[in-house]
Amino acid sequence: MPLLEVNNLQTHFFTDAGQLPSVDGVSFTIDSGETLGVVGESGCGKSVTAMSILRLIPQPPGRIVGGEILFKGRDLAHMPIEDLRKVRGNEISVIFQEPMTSLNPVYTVGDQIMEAILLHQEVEEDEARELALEMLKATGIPAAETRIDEYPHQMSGGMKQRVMIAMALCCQPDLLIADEPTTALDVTIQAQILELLKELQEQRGMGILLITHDLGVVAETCDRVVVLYAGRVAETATTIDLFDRPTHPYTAGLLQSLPDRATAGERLYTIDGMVPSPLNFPTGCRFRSRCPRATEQCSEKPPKIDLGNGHHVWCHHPLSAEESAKLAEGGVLDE
Amino acid sequence: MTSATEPVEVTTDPTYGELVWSQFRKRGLAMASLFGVLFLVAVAVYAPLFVSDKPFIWVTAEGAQSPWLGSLFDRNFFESTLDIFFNVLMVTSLATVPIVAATYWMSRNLGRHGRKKWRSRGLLAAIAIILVVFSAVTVFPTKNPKVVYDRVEQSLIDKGEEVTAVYPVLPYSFRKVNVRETLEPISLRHPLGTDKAGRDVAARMIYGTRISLTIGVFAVAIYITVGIIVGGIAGFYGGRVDVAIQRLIEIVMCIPSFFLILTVAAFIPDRSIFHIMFIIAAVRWTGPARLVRAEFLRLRKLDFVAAAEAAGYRTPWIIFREILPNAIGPVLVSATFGVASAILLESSISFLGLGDITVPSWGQILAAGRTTGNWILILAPGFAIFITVSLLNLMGEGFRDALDPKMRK
Repeated sequence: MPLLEVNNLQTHFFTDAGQLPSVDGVSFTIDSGETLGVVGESGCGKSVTAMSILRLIPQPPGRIVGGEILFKGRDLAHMPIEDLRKVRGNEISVIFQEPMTSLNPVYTVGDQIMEAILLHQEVEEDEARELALEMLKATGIPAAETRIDEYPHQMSGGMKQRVMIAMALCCQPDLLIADEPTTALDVTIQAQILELLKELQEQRGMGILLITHDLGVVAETCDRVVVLYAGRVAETATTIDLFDRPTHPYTAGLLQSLPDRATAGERLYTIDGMVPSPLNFPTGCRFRSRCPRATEQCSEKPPKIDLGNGHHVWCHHPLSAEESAKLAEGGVLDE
Repeated sequence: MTSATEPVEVTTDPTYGELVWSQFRKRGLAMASLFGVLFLVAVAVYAPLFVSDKPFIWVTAEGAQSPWLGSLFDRNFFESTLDIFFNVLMVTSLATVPIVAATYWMSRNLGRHGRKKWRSRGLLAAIAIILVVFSAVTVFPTKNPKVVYDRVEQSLIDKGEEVTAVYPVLPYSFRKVNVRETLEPISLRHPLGTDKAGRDVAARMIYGTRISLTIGVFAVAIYITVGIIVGGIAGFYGGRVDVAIQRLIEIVMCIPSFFLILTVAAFIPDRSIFHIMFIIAAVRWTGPARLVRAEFLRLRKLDFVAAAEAAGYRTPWIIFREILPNAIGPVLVSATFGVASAILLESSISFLGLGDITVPSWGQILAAGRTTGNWILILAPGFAIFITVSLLNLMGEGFRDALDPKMRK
């Protein structure tokens, strides 16, 4: 049994303008010790998917209207909120994008980690402080003994994100949801944080759901990848397979947009347009409004193509093996 | 310039409270008014030390005793619970002040965590002592027989017996009527004269400090609490809840509050000062409610609230422990001004004859002055109200500036 199994998740937002199907039938699984990357542009439903797992979407307007979220066999989507609170922060933890605002400015970081420990574990205050200190040391914060009594405003962004990680991991969760944990950090700190997450994962054997828009981060850290577009899965594969044989035109677009693909002086590749608003997602394949390969046929629901080894693509006109190979070697498709 | 080899003074990081205090301390006027307010509080707490018709020491042929000490928790003498409470504060201050001072002093060299821990422990111990003693004297009330000591003394002296009695500076009760000394002018015996019923005005003024400060602090405490809860709910939940609460606030604000107060006060028989506090609170809660709501709307969107939710905290915890401490600054500042304004409001209500006529509040003394036309009865309470309100407002301004990072000195 996988650690987390999301089946046909549908999270819709009910607004005055209408019903927005932000996440519309997303399925994936995560095993213990595995890192699953969820990639896609802004507005494609990555964060809503992640937040839906612990039912953290604002409600109203958001609601999970369908599907199930099986965590160790228990359905989080339909669990009473009291039981869910025992899962939150204890068995599943979340790290947010903005370390600057993710810590409460009025408490010292030590107090905040201690509170999180005291909430879920039956320990004395002194013991909780010991655990908090241990956690801070584990995240590689220098001079943790003095830093534990500092306020968030006395720390840099990278330090704060380490504190967030310490707070998220202090109750030994089985699953960590990291929602763009490095987006707000500069590149060197980004690498350190990712390295730290990997290290802690190896020690503790937890599953990680990594939300990112950065394929570089995916390549470095993830075992498997889900490519999301407009609330649906476009392609899913192991990281190696995805980079070796990108098959969905959207994946192809994302790969070609990587800055290191362009030669000096050349314009960067872009996918035309933006993710459409959930109000007017196209029928059939949702990518067809921006897809260079789109035809009449694409207004039909795209078929699921199985490429083996868990590599699935939902497309009428997937890339041929030659085109995939060309992309994998760092080339650009002709249009 | 300091050279690198010079020993650097090791200072631990200040807590938020210490930061605010160090800012507040730099403002002379605010500090002066803080001491003024502390003086008023001391006058209120230690009133029986200066004013009481019970002698400290009473030595007759039968032996020595201290009627003053016995009267402190005596229901027959201090009839109102309020006075008993202040007397408890006075007596327990023998223990509470040293405890708080000691914890502050002893923890001064500890790290921030230790300082906070010890200081909150000291404060908690002090509060616990006060509560225990207060509930003890409330649950087991003492009722001593009424004795008029100065008359007993006189009769004993007339009989030729030896009596030694040591009285407070003003040996009067604030409520004992003396028909032989009505409307006395200022004299050594009566520093501020007497009123129509022959009660010493100075004595009433001093006990009036208790009433006025209590009304100010309690009325504000009530409406701040209501405002925080209502505003917090509106700002946290938003949407329809917010709309409903906003409309309610607007309706309350539309009513001219002073006339509402007068109308309601006129309909309550046997008004006590607690009624007055609740009436003041009923019209004033909208201010802090709006302040708190605005802060909550801003803070609600920040990630640490989402993080707290993701960590499994319950909604009340998130509202009161995570968001509220971030929103409390402006509310506390408005509370300081609120105390001043509540004192003023109570004086107006009492002046118009709609207050609690059984207590010697400054407004009541003022109202008595209006009917008798005795200038000292008008000037003394008027001056006291003016000074108190000014001190509180100046202190509030200093507090506001101290909390404002842009005003940092």
